[in-house]
Amino acid sequence: MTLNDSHSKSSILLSVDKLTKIFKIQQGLSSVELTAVDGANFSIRSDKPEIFVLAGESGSGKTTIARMILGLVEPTSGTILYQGRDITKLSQREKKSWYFRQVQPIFQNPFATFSPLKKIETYLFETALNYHIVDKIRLHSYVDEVLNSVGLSLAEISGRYPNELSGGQAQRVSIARALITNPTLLVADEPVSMVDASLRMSIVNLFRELRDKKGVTILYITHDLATAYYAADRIAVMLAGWIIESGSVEQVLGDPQHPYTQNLKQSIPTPDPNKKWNDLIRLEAIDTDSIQSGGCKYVGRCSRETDLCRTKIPIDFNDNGRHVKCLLPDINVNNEVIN
Amino acid sequence: MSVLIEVRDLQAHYITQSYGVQRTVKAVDGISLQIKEGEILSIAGESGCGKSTLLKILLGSVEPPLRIIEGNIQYNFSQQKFDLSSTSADNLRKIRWSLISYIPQGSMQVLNPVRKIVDTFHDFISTHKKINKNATKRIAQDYLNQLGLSSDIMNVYPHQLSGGMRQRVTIALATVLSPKLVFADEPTTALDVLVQRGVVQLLKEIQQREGNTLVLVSHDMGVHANLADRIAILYAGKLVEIGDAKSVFKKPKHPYTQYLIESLPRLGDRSERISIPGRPPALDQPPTGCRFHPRCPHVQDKCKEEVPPLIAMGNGQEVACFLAEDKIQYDSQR
Repeated sequence: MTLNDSHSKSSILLSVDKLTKIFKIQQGLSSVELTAVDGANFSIRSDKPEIFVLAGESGSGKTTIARMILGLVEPTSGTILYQGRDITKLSQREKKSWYFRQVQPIFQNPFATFSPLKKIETYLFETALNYHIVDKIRLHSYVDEVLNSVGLSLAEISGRYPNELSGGQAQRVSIARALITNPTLLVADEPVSMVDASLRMSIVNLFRELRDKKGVTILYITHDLATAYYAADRIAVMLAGWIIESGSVEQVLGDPQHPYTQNLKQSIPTPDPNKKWNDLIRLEAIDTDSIQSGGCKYVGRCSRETDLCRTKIPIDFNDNGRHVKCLLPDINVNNEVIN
Repeated sequence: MSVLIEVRDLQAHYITQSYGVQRTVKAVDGISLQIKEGEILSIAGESGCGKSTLLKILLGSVEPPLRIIEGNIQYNFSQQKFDLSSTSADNLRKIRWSLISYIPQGSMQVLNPVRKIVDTFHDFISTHKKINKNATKRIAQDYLNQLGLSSDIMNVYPHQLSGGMRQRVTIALATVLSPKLVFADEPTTALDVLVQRGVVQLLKEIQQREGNTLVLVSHDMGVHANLADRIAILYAGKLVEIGDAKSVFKKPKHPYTQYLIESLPRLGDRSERISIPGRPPALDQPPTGCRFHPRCPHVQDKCKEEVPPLIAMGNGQEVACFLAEDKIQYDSQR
């Protein structure tokens, strides 16, 4: 499809195609349908490890995509191919022996990841033994080795309970646990939002290091666009279940084309008192549920909307690896209409 | 600008006792600062540095296990001047919301879930004024319209509003009685960028119109840069640097502030950022001397034993670091 065709099939690690998830919410006798993810397309290549960011505000569907990739939520339609294989069709056995070794999660709150009643190193030992990564003889040295790669050591955390660690340390242990199976892809859902400001960069730097030194690809899900810009190679911005713009981070955050991404970029606070926000944004507009069926989901908040936007679902524009879902993108070079 | 609040050598500890073992957490340990009338003062620091505790004390809500050990706080409102330790609880209740107001963190917890927004407004206003329900409704409606919020939200319950809208309603509630001093505790944390910008804009707008003093606590330096006139940096219960926001951001003097500002990711610059080594100390057993010394790249023997005092740098910036002191001497010798 969009980004998928740009490189040959063998070099694609993860490809998400027309992925849709509709949740049915039962309210008494009636049920309401909530479209969390609506026809999302993106792919991550395997020839060069990268940090791929899925960004968007809360409720935009980014966590639902992560949970579908991790096999925690069944997609309503669409496919997720990992190394060319449809992951929803894998048997339990294949999942355990192959997929879950390859793809590992890192969650938002490290203190909710670990049981407060268990010593933290047991998680590392159990993961290694459950997946038959090493035998008992080499267990300690292997776990220590993995901990070293996240800047910790077994001696440091041995015998400690999760509450005895700082947020940054606990998140590092959670990353180490994910690295035990030697995965190719880490799915990190808001990994720094619970971590202190001063330690946040150390986690993001760790991701860069893992990509460069261990060749791990990271799907980094965040609403923090400043760290996204710093860490990411490519980025997909979500709005109400749509991927509204994707491409390299320089393209999308450096020179955004979609009005929503442009608005987002301007709203990232710059840590410089000489660059305050001067222009006002429309306050009442930013919270309304203007998502109607039939048109663009950004209608009502868009600065460039036309009558057509209210009735026609925007098409995907593809330009030089960038993908924009808008009827009127600013791209003026070789508009190639797909879909 | 006259001084609205003068904090002198404030020490406040959390003292808990369980099974005969006493534990003292020195959350605020010798902080002196002035809050000037009509300014926006930002207080920055990571979690556990004592910024929320300081705010609690300034609000006059000191309840065990928190205790003020030393120091005093003088309030100089034109309506009344008083010292925190000598004022009655009754008086504090009277001035809270009407003179001193507070925008708490986590707006879901502060709005009563079983009361409509309009009723919550009534509860707030009627505590301080003799007023009937219709009149509060009008006041609330006018005020919400002034803030650019739709008055449709008057008749809904808090859970029907989105997080950003709830936060804005909380801000409206806290400022409806035109307080002279507003404290905001992490008002934008956990909000999306666009909503965050809306909240920052709202805070700025109210402050400019009412001319009130705003004290903003946050760990987000981007928000501080956008709002602050002056900024105070707290580290492990101590004030390490304070000054005009422009000069602190441009030339941070304390090594901790330098790390904080240099480690921030910026759009358009992907060069590697160095994160602060180590981690913040536990406040029941803080390090001796300068509390930053275990993480400081410029540590000297002196730092491990003596506590550096706050030194004025001349341009209104004050820094608690021996290095800054040496630099002044070095500069004056030249």
